[in-house]
Amino acid sequence: METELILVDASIEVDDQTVLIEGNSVVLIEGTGEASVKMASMGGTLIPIVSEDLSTKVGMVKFEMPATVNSINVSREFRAKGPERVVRVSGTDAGGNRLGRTLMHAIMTNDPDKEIKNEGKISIEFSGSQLVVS
Amino acid sequence: MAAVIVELSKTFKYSNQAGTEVECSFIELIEPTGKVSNTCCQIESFIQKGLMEMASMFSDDGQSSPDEQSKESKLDKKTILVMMNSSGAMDKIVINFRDLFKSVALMGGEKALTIPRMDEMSHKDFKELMVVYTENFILN
Repeated sequence: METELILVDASIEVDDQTVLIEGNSVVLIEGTGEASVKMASMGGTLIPIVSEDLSTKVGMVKFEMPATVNSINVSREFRAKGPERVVRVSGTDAGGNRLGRTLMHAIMTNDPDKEIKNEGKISIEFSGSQLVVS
Repeated sequence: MAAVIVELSKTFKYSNQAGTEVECSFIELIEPTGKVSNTCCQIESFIQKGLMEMASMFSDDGQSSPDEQSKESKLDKKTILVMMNSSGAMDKIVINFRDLFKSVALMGGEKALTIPRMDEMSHKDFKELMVVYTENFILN
């Protein structure tokens, strides 16, 4: 059986520009949405009723940036540019397996704390359409 | 001088201003401004060095030098590429072009070419961009 490896060095690009990120900080939410199942009965027979919540079909890319002066300014620009950003996440593990996801129509949704201190970090959250494989 | 369009043999995707990704099939090269003069001059000096190297090789066997040829006709793409290689500093030329293209190359004629997208381009297309830019804006 082959060993499976966890990808630890993904790359993030916002509008075709590579972003400086903290290690072990990238989180993806595919945006496939939540679904609920309830049982109904018809003539005594139980029938599952499935309902998808479209409002939860939101893709997200979350990561942290080291709080350098450049990162503080870059993260401000992300917010200032508003919607219609494109965020790409990509990486290849040591076994050559590639991960690629693109978040389109994205906007930076949070207003992060920008820690000006030793080992300070900035948390960034982009939300948009469902992630697509790229 | 007007912009020059270079068709790509291998397309790649870039993000447009509408928040989606579009296929990039061509790069528009625009004239350099004073802001990038230092980079252009560095590239030119490397190419001139290559020209001198070529001239010394040709003068040994009695053939006309590329310098003489260039007076007669415009340099073709193949000659420019040979001149770049003859400089012995092709790696430095590439590094300078990567820096230059961030300012003078537009993906799909609308958005500045970035380093991650250059990394996705094929080697053949990148060489073509360098040669076309040299032909039209560096040596012209």
